[in-house]
Amino acid sequence: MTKRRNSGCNALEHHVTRRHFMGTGAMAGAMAGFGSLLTPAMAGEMKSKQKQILQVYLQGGVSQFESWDCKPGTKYGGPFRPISTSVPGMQICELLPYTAQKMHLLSVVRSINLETDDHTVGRLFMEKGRKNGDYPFVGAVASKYLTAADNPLPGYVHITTRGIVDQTAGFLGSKHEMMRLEGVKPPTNLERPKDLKPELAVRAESLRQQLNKQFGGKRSRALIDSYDTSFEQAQQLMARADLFEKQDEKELDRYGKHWFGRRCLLARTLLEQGVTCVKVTHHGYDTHAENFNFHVEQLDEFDKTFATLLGDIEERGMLDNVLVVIYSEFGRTPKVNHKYGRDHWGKSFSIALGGCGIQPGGVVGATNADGTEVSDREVDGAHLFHTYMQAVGIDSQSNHSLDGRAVPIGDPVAAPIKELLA
Amino acid sequence: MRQDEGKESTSQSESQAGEQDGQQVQQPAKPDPAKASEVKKFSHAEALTNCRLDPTGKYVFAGAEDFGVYRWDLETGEKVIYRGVHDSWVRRIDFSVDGKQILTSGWDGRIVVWDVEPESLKTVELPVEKDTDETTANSGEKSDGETKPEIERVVDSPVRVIEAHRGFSRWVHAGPRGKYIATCGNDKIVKLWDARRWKLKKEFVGHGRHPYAVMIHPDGESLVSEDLMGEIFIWNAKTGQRTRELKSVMTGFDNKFQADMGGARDMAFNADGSLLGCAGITNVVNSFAGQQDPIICIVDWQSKEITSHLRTKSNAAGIAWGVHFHPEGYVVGAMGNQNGKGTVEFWSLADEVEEPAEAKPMSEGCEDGASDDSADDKTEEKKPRDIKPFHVVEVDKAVRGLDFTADGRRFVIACSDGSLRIYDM
Repeated sequence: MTKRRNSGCNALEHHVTRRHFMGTGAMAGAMAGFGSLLTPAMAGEMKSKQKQILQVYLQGGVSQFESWDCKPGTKYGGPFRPISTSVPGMQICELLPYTAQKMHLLSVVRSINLETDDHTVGRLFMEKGRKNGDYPFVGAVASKYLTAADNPLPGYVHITTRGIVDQTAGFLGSKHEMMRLEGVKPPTNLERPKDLKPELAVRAESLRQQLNKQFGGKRSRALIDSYDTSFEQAQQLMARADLFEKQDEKELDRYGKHWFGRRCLLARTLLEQGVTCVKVTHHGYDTHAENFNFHVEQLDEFDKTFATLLGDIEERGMLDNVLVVIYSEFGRTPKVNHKYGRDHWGKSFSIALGGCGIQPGGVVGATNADGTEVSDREVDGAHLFHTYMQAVGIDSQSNHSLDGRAVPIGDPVAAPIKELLA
Repeated sequence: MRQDEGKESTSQSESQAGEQDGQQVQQPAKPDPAKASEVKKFSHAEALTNCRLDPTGKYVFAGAEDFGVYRWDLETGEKVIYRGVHDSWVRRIDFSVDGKQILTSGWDGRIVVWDVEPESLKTVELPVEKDTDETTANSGEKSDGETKPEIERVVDSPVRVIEAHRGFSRWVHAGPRGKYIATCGNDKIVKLWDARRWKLKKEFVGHGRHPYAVMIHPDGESLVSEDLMGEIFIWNAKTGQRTRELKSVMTGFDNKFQADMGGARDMAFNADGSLLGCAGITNVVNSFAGQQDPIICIVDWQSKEITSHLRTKSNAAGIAWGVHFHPEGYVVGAMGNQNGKGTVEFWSLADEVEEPAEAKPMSEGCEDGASDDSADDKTEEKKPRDIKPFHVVEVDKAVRGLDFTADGRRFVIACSDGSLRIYDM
């Protein structure tokens, strides 16, 4: 395909976007509290009109051998055993006993080959569906096409503690940029300064708009939009600052009081409130050393929490409208190194997904006996991107309209994994 | 000196050779770490996870990154495979007090009891690998020499199988008096078993994170276990009460990746039980890349305090996978380094080379209020001494296990390349 220049994404806009990102990211944490006000039924009703995405990103590259594609007793299989799941005939690793009981809600893709072992290349390919180019992430595309115009909440929120700051919206503009929350900590500067009276704040906003008009007279509209987006979202979130409250202790007992548990509970809240795409990062899978001990610890933390979140989404009747994806930037090497570690491996790894638009309980593709290569139905980030889009009702084979020019939403050389689509 | 597989060295350590000239018998020289040399080497296709010498010194056993346990005869090199019961890696091997049985603990949750010398061995002929060279295959030529089938000697009938833990059985230790066996696993429980009938005698509950190792003290009155957080618990074997808790430096939170790493990778008492050694890691920088320091913590059993930190000579990043108290009084440790190499290092506890690296909390009273005599003696906390080794044996592969013969003249190490190396000193 022809690579399109991203005219809406110049350096200044990126600069503005970063400021917006940093400024409003903290504020979004203010939304944490009000989700608990909804009953499951209300949440389900509210969500009936909107397709949403929940991304659970296992940062660093979860091992496919220790999760979705066990190879017990083989040369590279490692020490763990497979267990049965709620889907007859489907087995996953014993480190995921709670998730195993939810596999009737998920499907597994075991045949991903990204042809890269690089964190950044792998991450961007899995998010953008393209190996190169300044294209928007899954969450940004969802934000643009699935978020109602009157939705006061950001379309794309990422709950994490650390991590790389990517430019996620590309040419879609800063309105659809990922808003990053620093875990579930209360945001700083959430409240209006006490000595700034409301009427003065109104006058300041009026002045800002007036200056915007003058500044933007002969300049790109994208610049002014970036500033406006930042201010609008900040104001909307500040208006709801009183709704920020501590997470419910009983709910935390269910989710786990560790950071990942708190993030997943916040993710549920944000989905209930109508955020289009919520991404939760669970860190700690780049296991070049002690792969097995780390997977015991990390997946133990992931498993029950994720299964609880998935169960809640289902119980609230939201799963028909929420696409759930558990993924990494790649998998881990078949060969175990001298540190009991597994290194980067993008040639044959797995993800799991389910919910909105996805046929549950299936396994797509396969790797060979030792897990060293894909043996059936090879796919890559482009196929997955198309599949996500189609699942939530976005025609990935159509185009973005960018100042009158057409930019394919999904990579035209790839297609959705049709057998996964409901 | 490194030799080919199973072949003995032509040059034995001089210090080992006692001389005999008719009526006058010289006492053999004491084992000398400085003269440690590799005299034999066995190989396995997969990386080894640990090793133990049987009490007679005739056999060496090793676990591997497959589901087998392997026995080599040190003289003949004959290899016997114990398999068919564990369906995960074996992490720890121990022997019954009479030395006739081995106990293996696996990540499948099982403890398996096997005979060291089973009455019968199965002989399995392995299929000969076909020549897959296309040029040969297409030409129809046959190779000149016939390939002899490889023979495996297999033990697949264990004496007993115990489903010991829900979650992985990380450790098994046969108590020195032969009455009890201690195990621990990922169910966070330390268990004490009757050694004859394998009846569960007592459970010790309290570790908040996975316990990695447990030992029964030589006096049989106490157990000691250490978990992922570097917490060393001392338990009363009779009452099950936790009598003491030591907070060691053998743990770390990897801030970048937000995960804990630590725990004892090996544990040993000296002969009279006055000292305990715990091998593992400290100073975690980036544990996901193996960037942390190996360390061996020495606990004085009378005071129940950590008195020494044994540091490696090179300060290379890695993990201490083995600790052993030598009959001559020094401590020996085995290291697997981040760079893929390893060392066997020797410390004298009388040496003090460095000031303590950092002040860390040491012993604390137990939570349940129980205490032993020394616990009440709240004197000023002493910082452990940092001790550097007086001798180092360099190994070109990461070392994952270490054991000595009873006389301390021979040691064996298990390596990450599947080699098992025997040293005399």
